[in-house]
Formats: sequence, structure tokens, C-alpha cells
Amino acid sequence: MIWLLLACTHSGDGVDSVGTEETAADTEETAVDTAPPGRPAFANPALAEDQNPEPGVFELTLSAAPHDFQVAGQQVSGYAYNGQNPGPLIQVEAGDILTATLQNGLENGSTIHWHGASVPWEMDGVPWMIGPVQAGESKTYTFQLSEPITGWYHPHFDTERQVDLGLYGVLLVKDPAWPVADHELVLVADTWGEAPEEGHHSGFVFQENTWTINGLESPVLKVEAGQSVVAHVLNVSNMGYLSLSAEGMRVVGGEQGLLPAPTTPERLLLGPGDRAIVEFSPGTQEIELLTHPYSVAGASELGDPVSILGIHPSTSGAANAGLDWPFESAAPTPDPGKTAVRYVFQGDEQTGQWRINGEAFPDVTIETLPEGVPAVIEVRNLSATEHPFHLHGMSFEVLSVDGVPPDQRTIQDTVNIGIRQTLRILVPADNVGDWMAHCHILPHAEGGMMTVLRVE
Amino acid sequence: MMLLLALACVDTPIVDSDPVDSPVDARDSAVQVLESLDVVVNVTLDGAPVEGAWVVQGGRGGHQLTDAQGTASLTLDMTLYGEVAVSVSHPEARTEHQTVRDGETTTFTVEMVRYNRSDNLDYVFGDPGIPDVADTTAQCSHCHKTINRSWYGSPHRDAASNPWVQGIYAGTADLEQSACEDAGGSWELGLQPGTRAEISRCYLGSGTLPDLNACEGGCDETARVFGQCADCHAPGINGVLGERDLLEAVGMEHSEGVSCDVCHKVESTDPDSSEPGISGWLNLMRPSEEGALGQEYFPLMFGPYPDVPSPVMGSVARDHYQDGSLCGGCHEHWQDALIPETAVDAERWPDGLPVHTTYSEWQQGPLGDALACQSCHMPPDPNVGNAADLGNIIDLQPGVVPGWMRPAGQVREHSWVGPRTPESQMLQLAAGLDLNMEQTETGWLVSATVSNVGPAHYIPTGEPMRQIFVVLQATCAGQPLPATGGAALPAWLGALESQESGDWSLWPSAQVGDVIRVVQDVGPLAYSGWGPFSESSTDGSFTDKGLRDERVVGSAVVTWVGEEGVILDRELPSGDRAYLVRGAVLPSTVQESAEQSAGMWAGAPGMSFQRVMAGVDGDWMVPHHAAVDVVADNRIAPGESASSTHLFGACAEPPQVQAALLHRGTTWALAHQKNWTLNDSLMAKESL
Repeated sequence: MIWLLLACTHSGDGVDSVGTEETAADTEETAVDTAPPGRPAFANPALAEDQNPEPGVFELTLSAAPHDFQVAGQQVSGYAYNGQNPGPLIQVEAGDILTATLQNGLENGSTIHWHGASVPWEMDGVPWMIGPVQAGESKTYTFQLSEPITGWYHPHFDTERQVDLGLYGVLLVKDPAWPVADHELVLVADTWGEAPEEGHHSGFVFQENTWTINGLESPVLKVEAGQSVVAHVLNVSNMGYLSLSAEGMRVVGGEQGLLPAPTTPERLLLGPGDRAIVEFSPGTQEIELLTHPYSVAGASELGDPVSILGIHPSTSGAANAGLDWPFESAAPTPDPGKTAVRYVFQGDEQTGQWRINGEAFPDVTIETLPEGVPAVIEVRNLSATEHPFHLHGMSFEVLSVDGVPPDQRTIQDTVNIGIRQTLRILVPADNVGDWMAHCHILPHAEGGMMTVLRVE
Repeated sequence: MMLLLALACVDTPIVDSDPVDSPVDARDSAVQVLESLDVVVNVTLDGAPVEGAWVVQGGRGGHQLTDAQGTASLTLDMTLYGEVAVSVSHPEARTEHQTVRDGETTTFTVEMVRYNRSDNLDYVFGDPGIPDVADTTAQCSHCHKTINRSWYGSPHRDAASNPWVQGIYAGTADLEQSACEDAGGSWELGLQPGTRAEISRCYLGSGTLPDLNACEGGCDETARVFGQCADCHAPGINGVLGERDLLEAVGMEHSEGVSCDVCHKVESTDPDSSEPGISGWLNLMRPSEEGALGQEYFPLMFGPYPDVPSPVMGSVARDHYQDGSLCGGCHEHWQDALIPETAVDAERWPDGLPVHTTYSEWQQGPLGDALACQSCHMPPDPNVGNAADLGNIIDLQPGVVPGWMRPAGQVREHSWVGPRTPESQMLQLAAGLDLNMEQTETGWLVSATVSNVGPAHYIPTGEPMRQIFVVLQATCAGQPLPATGGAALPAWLGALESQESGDWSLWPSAQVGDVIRVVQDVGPLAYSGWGPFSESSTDGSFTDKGLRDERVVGSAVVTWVGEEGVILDRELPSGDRAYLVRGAVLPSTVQESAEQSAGMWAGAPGMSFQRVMAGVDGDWMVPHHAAVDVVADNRIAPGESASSTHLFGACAEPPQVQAALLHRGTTWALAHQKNWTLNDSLMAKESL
């Protein structure tokens, strides 16, 4: 229903022009290098241009409009911000103020939600209390970004369809204390290829569809041995899960800045809406960032992984030892024990009905937390599929999964919950407002798996 | 594994009849690939065009209905992995098909024949088989390997052979002769369940057969009234359906309980029926047409899919396999008084006694319009893409005979996850337990709130003797801090002895270390429970909600036992009732609760939730065959909570409080009498 394929031209020449018109200052990767035959050269999304010369203030206009662009070598008709998919890469430093004006050039309403950013509720881009920005109208969002995040922005009205059509972009809030890598990549991962009548474009149980990075199918970044490579990985797929592995991959950050200490998981799982910062240290050997088949229904991992990114050294030499990140080790907060709110996820793919506490959004009970009193929210998943739980307005700490605390302090805004798992999180309750709490598998959210948490 | 094949091995049918013989077309020397094919399907039923038949491509979904001329048009996906076939389904006929062998034939005729709708009493229910043994295609396990394995360990398979069911049915206890006679039972010849062989058994306590047939001891061979137990517990007894003796079930009728062939012989459901299981709600249809290839009868099987045209199955599609109406057949049961010369108060219970109401609890609850029973209790099996996961003949290409690969999630588990599948953690997900504590003038007041957070039905549900209960304990500076007030657990939570009044010095069963708990009845317990026991029943609420508000007043430990009585570590306060209990330990883990014997918690600080059925002599928590009334039902509705308060004594610092929410399958007294192993299941724990 959504993607209208205009042509089928595989990008065998390896050069893709999508989103490469502008070159980022820090995230400078562009598609100018040669790539192996059959694989395009990697390119970061084009940087947003700051329209305000004042230091500490980043101002831009984001025009949402229908747009024809290439994905994995195919010309598609979708939506885009400022005529590029992914949308302009907004890159600021912690403490900066962002002012973004949405000009809605779509045929119906839209909003911008700043996924991962703690913003005032009226800037959160949800139509719960403030309606959508109507077609042809504008709205200016302005807020301070106080903490480093690997965030993204996307509509929160008609969400499943508009995000599916390509309406999303990246919001990086960086800490100036972080080391500068030789290559800083932004990997916007999306899936394509679902039957149009399915109403979505991503794989559900098995990732049988094509993953793209910034619209490119398995692009390749040329590097020199010994260089440092840092990648902000964002899963913007409506439903697809990334289960990533790569030789020597080190996870240094999550959605909300640096981890207390780096990790080297066998698989880095990123559900829809989830993000991470990873580091590669290429030596002589080529590195392939693989995503493995992943079943949200709990099936065994079957099938072969596919490469979503190649990091290919053009020289020989030793790998570097990794960047010197300012990690601050921190143990998980002990579970205070008292549960303030309990969310139970229920649903069935077969009925297409998705609920939290038996209720379908917007007919929900609003749970209330007093401002300034950190509170435990317990999320239970009774359904037969996994769900990426996302809370607006506040990041939270994962206290435990099925009673087991994480190895280190884990701050997130989107966390995956397994089948029949119980997740306990500590919410600071420090941002007054009505905040959406929902599954970020967008058809599930559209199907009702969304509720409202009030802080007052 | 099969699903992987579906994903990895997408065969594309080739239209060319024979590449070798085909003339080479200079314009298209490559292989021509036909991706889709528009076909017209003409369907007849008993020779006449039929309207409303489902026409679907096998394995693809998306059906078309035939018009008044019996015709439907369909676009076939020729890239489907496996056999391309048109499948036609009609509610009165076995599903038929036409295989599409090339791209040239585009019009097909499918002839359907009405199946004989006379139930065949001579039919013998099929053998489900056992996991990893696939001797013959007559066994379901031959092809349906995963489903068979999952069903094999399920409570449904145990429906008839469950020793608790058999013990309550015949009125037997699991005791040897001497213990039986010591306990007041009779050691008599009876029937061994599942064999009808005569054996000596211990007849002790209530039983369906002795109670309904007014016999002393056992009456396995003489009973004539059977209480319809077998209608759900042994529906696979061959011959006449319904009203059968559970002890008639022999062999597979007994050992396989609710088995594949029985469940998939349900032609229709009748939720308006007042009769349970196969006596009314579930209408079974056994085939009577003569079979072929060694089959006595032509197969007839009802199931969820419209595209199962395999002649091995003789399949007819029915929606009730995907909704709750099938489950309601045995999980919704109202009954009259069954014991002779007893009656149910028709004014109080005009529709009979509610025994099992799980189906209506779900139907009337917040998820009744969103999820089916199957959504939670038969979750998708993600590792199976085909109900017939032919591990033994994997070379077969998916198609008419072996079935097609289905989207992951369509094939559902047949283990019926729930309280009896502990690995599913369904009990732990079902309820929330929250505590609060405040200091009072005399001690510490703890409130405990139990919430039904997950299920679409009340908790507990199902068998009415099930209970869930919260128990609290406190310590002060590391020493036990006795409860001095607040809600107490009722008698059916277990005690060796109880006494209504007196000085409570004589306890014949007492041993040193036992505990005597004293409670006081302060009046009726106010609560909002199920149906007329709720505060706002649409059908009218009972003013008398049955339960008594019994409060803890104190307890003491037995320190010495002699003929003249017991000596306690402290003086017992006065009260209305005292319980003698032994060895109750609060479990701290699910594993621990599963391994330790159910504790005696009568009189302890806590609150229990259950449906209370009463017998004609006024006994509470009786088996439902013996019930004439439901006197209370404070079970917790979906999304609702219930709270209780508990007072502990003085402590300079806030005491350490531990609480556990436990699930118990039957009453402690019944299990004790019958010598059954009774374990509680820890649902939740909380501490302050």
C-alpha cells in the first residue's frame, strides 16, 4: 500500500547520491570513495544546516513533504524531511538549544517527536493534548538538549504510515569530552521489501527483507588500517529487529550517552526505535557488520546473517587499541522494591489487537507519578511476541529483567522486553507532563499498545 | 527448520512445458517466469453450483467466495514455495482442491460432496501417538510431531488419568490398607482406572460415584449415575457420546484424555447448551462414509484452516478453533445439585450453580473483544511453519498432502500454557502484590494488595477448589514479630486440628514446635467478587457475601505435650477459633514452592481468594459434585485489586515484612485426606 516502486535499478555502480549533497563537519563520511563492485560506498545522512549563528542554538526548518528517492537502488515515492531520506542529521552538543520548525507539506496532519530527548511535554510531538500540525501549517519546537543522546526524530501522528514512508532523521547530542574518531558514522537502519498490502515494510518474525543503511544496501566504508571508526546505529524500522555482530565490535554507548563501561556482546540487539554507539578498530582484515535473523516470537535463530555495512581497510597494519572514552563505571541502582505502576502487555498477532493493562489507546487509564519522586514501573509481557518498550519525556534505568539486574547501570528510553518477561525500570519522574508509554513496533502501537504516564 | 526452508528455498514455477523441446525465442532466451496466474474456479456441491464456498490458494490466504453460479476468480501466486493448488472449502463438505500444473489451464472445476452428518457410534477415535515414535500414519504423531510433543505433556492429555480427578470421582485415597483403615476408610475391591481390572482400593471421603449413588465405600461397578465428569475428562470414550462413566475409559480413552481426534471432531459448538462438554456444548461428528486404502471410514476432521485438502485429513474448516467457544465447552459449566434429594435454590441460582465460569469471565472482561483464549494459552509456536512438520519425510515438497508452509505464528502451541505449565511463568505474570506499612499506636499496620494484572479472566479461575492467598510474616530485630490483628486466613488453608472454643489446652495431634493460632470472627467480610458477589452486579448482588471477617488475635508455640494437655510459650488470647498447625514455611522462590509441601496457613495473617462451594450439610469448599450452593466468591476480576490489612506488634524500628502470594490447586484438607502431594506455586513475593 505504501511504497510505489517507480523503477528497479540496482545500484551496481556502487555510488549513491541520496543524502550526500552536504558534508558533515564531524560526521564527514561521504560517498566519494570507491566501493567493491556491487556494493555502494557508505555515506552519512547530510547534515542539517544551522540557520542561527548564535552559539549554543541550533535552528532549522524541517519540511515534511512527499518525495521520490532511491532506496537500495530502487526509486520509491515516499515522504522526506527537506527532500532527503534519512532527514537532515541534526548534530548539537549537550546544553544546546534546538529550535526546529516543522512545515507540514503532507496531505494530512503530522508532528515531530524527538525520540530519546527529555523535552517539555508540549514539545514532545504527540497529539495527545495538542493536536497535530495540520497539512499546510507549521509549528516550532524549541527546547534545550541537556544530555548526550543518540536520538532520532519522527512523526507521532499517523506514525506507522509516515515513518514507514521514510519520515525520520537523526538527532545527535554529543558530549564535547568524547574523543574524535577518524570516521564517525551514522547508520540509520531500516527494512524494506514487505508485500505492499501488508501495510508495513519490514520483517516481523524473520528478517527476510532488505536492510538498508541510510538508504543503501550493504554499503562499504573505505578506511586505513589503524584508524578508529565510531558508529551511531539507529533502528528506525517499523518492526524489524537488528541482531548485530562484527569482528572486534565494541559497544561504547547506548541511547542515552556513554555506557558506564564498554561491552562486547556476542549480539547487539536493537529493536525498533533502539540505538547504540559502537566502535570498530579495523586492522588489515575487512570488517562486516552483520545482522542475524531474529524472531520476536522466540524462534530459533535460523538462516544466514547479512552484512549491512562493510568496513574495508585499503592498507595493511595493526588495529588501534580503541578510543579513550571517558567512561564512568556505575553499578545498577538497587531495586527499591515498591512498584508504582504496572504495565502488562497483551496481544496477539492473529487478532491484531494489542493492549496495555487490557486497554487500547486512547481509551486508557492515566497512571500518575508525583514529580520528583523516582518511581518503579514494572512492565510485564504476556503476549507471544517481544516488544520494544519506549517511554517519552524521561530516560529510565533498567533495574532488572525477570529479577536479574543488568551488569552495569543501564539508562535507556527504549528497551526490549522478551516473551513472558518482567522488566523493572526506575523512572526519575522529573519531567512534568503526560508521556506516552508504548511499544515501538509501530503496528502494535497503532493497534492500541500505548498508554499515558502523567507526572505532576 | 521447515520455516527456514520456506524462507530460503523459494522455488519459482517455470511455465515452459519442457525447455528442451521448446523453440528458442530470440526475444526471450531466458527462462520465462510466471509470477501470478488468474484463474476461474467453478465449484459444485453434490453436483450443483454452490454459492459462498471459500476459494483460496493453498498456503497463501486471501479467499474469494463463489457467486450464485458457483464461480470465483482468484489470482494465484505462482512463486509460492511448494505445490500450487486451488483449495475450496465449504462448511458442509470436506475441503477439496485442484492442483495447478501449468500456466495454461486457467479454469478449474472443484466438485465437493456433503459429508454424512450422522454421527457414527462405531467409529473408534484415532491414536494420537507418542512423541518421537512414528510407526504409522494412523497416529497423529507421524506427521504432527511438534504438536504431538507439546500436547503429550499438557494437562489436556491428563484430563482422564489425573489421579486427583480419579480420586474425587471414585472417592478413593492414595493410601495403603492399614493407613486407609486407620483414617476411617474402607479397603475394597474396585476398578483400576484405565483398565477396568478389579483391584483393592482405599475408599475414603467424598467421591462423585459414592455421593451420587448413595453407596457406602466404593461403587465403581454398581454406580448408575456418573455426574457427567467424563463429558469433559474422558470425551474420547468410544460409542455413545456423553453421560458415560469415567471408569469406562480404558486404554487411550483414559491415558490420552482430551486427545487430537476428539478435539478435532467438534463440528459445532453450542454455548447456549446447559450440558457440558460433549453432552451439549461440543457437538462431535464422527465419520461414517466408507474409507479407502485400508481406512475403515473416510477421514473427517475439523480445524481452523480452509486450505487443508489432504484426503488423509478429510478436513472441514471451522472458526471455533480460533475463538473461545471451543474452550467454553468445558471451561464454562453450570450444574444442578447432583446428590440425590438435594436441590439448588432456584431463586438464588436460576441458571444452576456456577462451577467453571472461565469462558464467561473472559467474554465479559476487558479482553473479551480483543483476544481469544488461544492468544494466551495457545501462543504461536514460532519454530513451526506447518502443523504437519514432517520430520520423518522432509523431502516432501509442501503442498496438498503434507500441507503448506504457513506464516510464522499461525501454528499454535498445543501445550495450553497456564498454571500447570510452570515454565511458562503464567502464574507469576498473572498477579501483582504490593505492600505498604505504617506505624500505629500499638504496632505496625501492613496493607497487602493483590491485583489481577494479566489474565483476561478472574484469578483464580477454573476448578473451584483452587485458591490464591497472600501470607505475611514479620520480624523485629531478627526475631519473629507475631501478628496481633488484621485479616486471618480461613480454615481451608490448612490445619491439623481446629477448635471453636474452650481453653485450647488439649490438642491430641500436637507436637512440640507446633503453633496454635487464634482468630476472632468480627462479622461478615465485605468484598467485591464475581457475579452476584460483586458490589454492582447487573443481575443483582447478594447482600450476604458469605465470607466471615476473621481476625488474627494471637498465636503461641507448643513447648511441651503431655496427656493433660500442652504447654505454650505464651498465653493464648481469647477468640472464636483456634488452629493447630505445623511446619508452615514461606517459600522464597518458585522452585522452593514447587518442592515443599503446601503449608498449613489457617489463622495466619493473610487473605485468600476463591469460589466457595457448599455442600448440603453446610461444609464449605466441597468438590462441585457435592455442592448445592456457592456461598462466596471473592476472586479478583481482570484489572481489579483487593486489599487486606494486618497488624504486627510493637517494634522500635520498622519491622522486616515478607509476603508471598501463593496458588493452591485444591484444599489442604482434601489433599491431606486423599494423601495427595500438594505443593503451592509462588506467584509473587514482596518485602518491606
